[in-house]
Amino acid sequence: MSPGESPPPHGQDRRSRVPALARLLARFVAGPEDRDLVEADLEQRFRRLVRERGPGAARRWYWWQVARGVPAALRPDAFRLGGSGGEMRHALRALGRKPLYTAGVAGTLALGLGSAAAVASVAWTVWLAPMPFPDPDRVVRLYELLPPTGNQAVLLAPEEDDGFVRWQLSPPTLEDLRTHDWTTLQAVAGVTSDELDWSREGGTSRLTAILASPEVDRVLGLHPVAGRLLARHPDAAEVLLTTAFWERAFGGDPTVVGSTLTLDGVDHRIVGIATLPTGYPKRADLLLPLRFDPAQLTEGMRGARYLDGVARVAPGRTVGDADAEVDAFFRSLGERHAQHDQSRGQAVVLGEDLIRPYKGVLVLLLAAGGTFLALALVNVAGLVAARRMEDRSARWVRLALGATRARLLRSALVEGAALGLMASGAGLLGAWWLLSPIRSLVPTDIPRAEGLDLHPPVAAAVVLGGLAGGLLVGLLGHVLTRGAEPARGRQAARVRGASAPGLAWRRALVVGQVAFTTVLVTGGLVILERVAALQDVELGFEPEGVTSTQLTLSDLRYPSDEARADLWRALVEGMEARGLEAAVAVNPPMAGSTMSFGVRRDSASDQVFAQYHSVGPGYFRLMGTGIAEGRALGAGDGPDDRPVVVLDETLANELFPEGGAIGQVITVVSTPRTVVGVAAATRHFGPDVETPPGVYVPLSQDPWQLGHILVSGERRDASAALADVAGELDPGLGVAPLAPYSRYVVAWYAPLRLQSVVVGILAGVGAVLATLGLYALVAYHVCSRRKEIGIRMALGAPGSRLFGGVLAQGLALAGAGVALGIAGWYAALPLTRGLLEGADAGGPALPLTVALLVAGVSVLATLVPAWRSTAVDPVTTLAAE
Amino acid sequence: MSGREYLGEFEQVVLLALARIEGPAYGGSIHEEILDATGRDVSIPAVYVTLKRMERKGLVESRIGEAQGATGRATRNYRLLPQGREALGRSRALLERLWEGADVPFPEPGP
Repeated sequence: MSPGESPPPHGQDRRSRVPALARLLARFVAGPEDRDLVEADLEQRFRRLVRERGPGAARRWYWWQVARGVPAALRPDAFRLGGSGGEMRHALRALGRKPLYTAGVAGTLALGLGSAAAVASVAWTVWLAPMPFPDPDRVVRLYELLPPTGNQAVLLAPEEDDGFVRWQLSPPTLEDLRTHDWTTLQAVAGVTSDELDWSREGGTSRLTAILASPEVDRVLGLHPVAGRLLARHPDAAEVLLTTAFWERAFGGDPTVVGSTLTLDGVDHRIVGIATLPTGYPKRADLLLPLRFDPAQLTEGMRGARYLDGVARVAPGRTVGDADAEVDAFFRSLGERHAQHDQSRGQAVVLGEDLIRPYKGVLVLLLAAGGTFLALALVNVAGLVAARRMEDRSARWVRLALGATRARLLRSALVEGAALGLMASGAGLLGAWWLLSPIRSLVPTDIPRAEGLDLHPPVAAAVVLGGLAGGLLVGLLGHVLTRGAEPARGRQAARVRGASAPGLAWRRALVVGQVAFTTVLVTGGLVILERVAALQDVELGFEPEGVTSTQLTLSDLRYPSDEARADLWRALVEGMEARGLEAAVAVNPPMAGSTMSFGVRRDSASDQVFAQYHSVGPGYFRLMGTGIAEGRALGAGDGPDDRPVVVLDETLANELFPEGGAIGQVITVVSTPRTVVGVAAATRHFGPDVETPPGVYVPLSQDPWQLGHILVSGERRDASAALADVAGELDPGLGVAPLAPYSRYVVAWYAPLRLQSVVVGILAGVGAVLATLGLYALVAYHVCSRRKEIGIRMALGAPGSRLFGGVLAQGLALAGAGVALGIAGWYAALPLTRGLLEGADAGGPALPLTVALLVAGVSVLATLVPAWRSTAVDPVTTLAAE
Repeated sequence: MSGREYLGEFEQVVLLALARIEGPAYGGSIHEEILDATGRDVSIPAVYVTLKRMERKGLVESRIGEAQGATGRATRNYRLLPQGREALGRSRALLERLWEGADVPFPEPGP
């Protein structure tokens, strides 16, 4: 070695050494045969450059050299003849020779990937995928914020926000917003929905329509598929069909544009066809202009807050700017209109606002998916470790036959990749399979839930995740056996020595997993128990045997109270003439509506808010709601008779705690009414909410436009009879077929069912993973103690004792996990209070059951390796060692 | 490899450098030759990877040489095979055919 090329003297600038990472990369790029030669050539020139141009330039040169070598090394023909395809075939054959191991590793990975993918699909579809508008982050929803006052009739449940209640917009407010000169908003539109009757030859159908201000096309970026959008100032009634309805009702016939659609008795010209974005507004058949007559824009209408306000933020302005300007707008509105004197305003990104109620659950689900994936990887690592201990001798043989370590690494990586790809495939299939039950269980009011599918970004992530997981598995397997070469003569010591610290954390992981599973299974059982308990709650009405349909009477045909009362009465009489029991009710229990109106005992007392029901004769008998005192409402309570009311027990107790409600006169909204009866309290909002106070007034004295027709009897006959009766009374009525009233009860349980299914799946996946983890750890243990077991058996130790020892070891780990899990369960109880309200979560029975269950599964997981420990042949084992 | 394949640009550079070297040629000396003749500081790992690939195609052959040079370490020495010469000739002929009739001025030698 010439003096000029000697390595830098000790203590010289570290910078004059070859960068270690670059050197490693250079060795990888050069391939196994030439790596030493390449390293020497690079080093030689590096030294010269250090002398000539300084260490910095030399290091940059070295990195540049390596970086430019990477593309050459990655060329497909850089691999040996037969390419990686040959290696892949070899790896697949090798995996086929150990089917249990392959199934275990690929299955565990697939389980983790599949559950993570299913969860990620839900999150992607309803939350993470951008909303289908141009620049979705600039589309905002506008709210009026008001301090909670408690004296407003709550028709649409408002939402709380920082102590303020978020309200939708009233028609006059919307018009103020639309005509305001905004600097941060480009366009403001109001959106609401309605149902209309479509009359045509051969019958009438009920259609859903989105009513929207003309600016909606700018806000949401609507474009016509055919024809044009709604005109700003049309000379006649216009309607736009949605693509879905156009295809369903007209088979996608483009000639319908220009023809006429009769809606609620009024002819509308079809001006075009457009696709509504998924997720917002809700699905509909038609798009109609939102217009108000002068009566709807009076000061008195400022409290009628039922319209959605949406807007597009102007270019160059942020949502924050828009929020501030909207807030300022509402504050200034308060100066002009007394109704808004405490108003604030808010603009929030529409996509985020839609998903807000579900975000917590989605984050939780994503976290669970990620945890399972991590657990699956940890367990796979355990399985691989156990397997590699068994593979040691095979590896020695390959090394003895001249295979290089690089070659072994490559085949380990290819094998890992093959496993990963198998796991991805199985995971994708699993996720796809899981999505169909999830699809049917996800509540339909979650925006975009109908688009739930395995979307390409999620599928791609699964394949990449599987590949990465597989490569990790391959690398791990290689590293675990790296020291096990016979030539180094230290294999046994190295392997045992390396396993000792690793074993401690693997044990801790298994204990953690068992604990995690214990918590999940306990949670699942508590939720199941809660569902069962809620099913036993007395609802105060009997939905079985009752069918119903909702009907909205058109303003045009039934403009007066009299006309509406007559129609409701005629419908019920027609059904009774056909031998069917029927009644009409407004705001019946659990049907999703809420009408909280003020009731006063006398002018001096405080107002009480009660659920308001307007019901026809026969309602209580038909719904099975008992009358505790007095009488039910009947045919004798006509429009010209004395105004009467029936209280439910909750309200009767609240207004008249001393009793004697019958005969008293109370004020319902603004009408004095005589109490004639007290009915059983009903669970208006479902079995988990205490019975709210309720009042019942005769339908003939307050005939609403929107009612439920309730019929007792067989659904098919009753539907036919109802269609008959309705047809005779008014062919344009458009009565939908009857459906069992129990659908509301079933729908109420749906989210709870979703919750139990989600927790059930999580608990199931967790249990399988924990079992596999336990199995892998005990199996690894048995393999690493093979020599010791062999010696013991040679010394005459009975198989049963060894078997018992291994079993005890597994059970000790499981026991520790269960104990930790139960402790965790009790510790986490305060956090889950909301979720598990009403369930007996604090009792000892459940955790004990779970402990037994988990212990049973642990025994199963330990049995196989325990049995294998007794199958160790002392002669073979000792000879191999 | 079929006789109709043409060499890549970098393959030609490496093969021509190999053809110019008298005596044993190894990765480092090929790199030096390219640097001296063209001023291009090509990647040493890329030279090795390319030589390995061309060896698999039967254009060059290699054998581990004896320890030599100032460093006293062993090298892998490469030799151009007749197929390699043919491939170079084909690539040259292809380029010359293309150059014929192409009205492109020859660049002035740089400073």
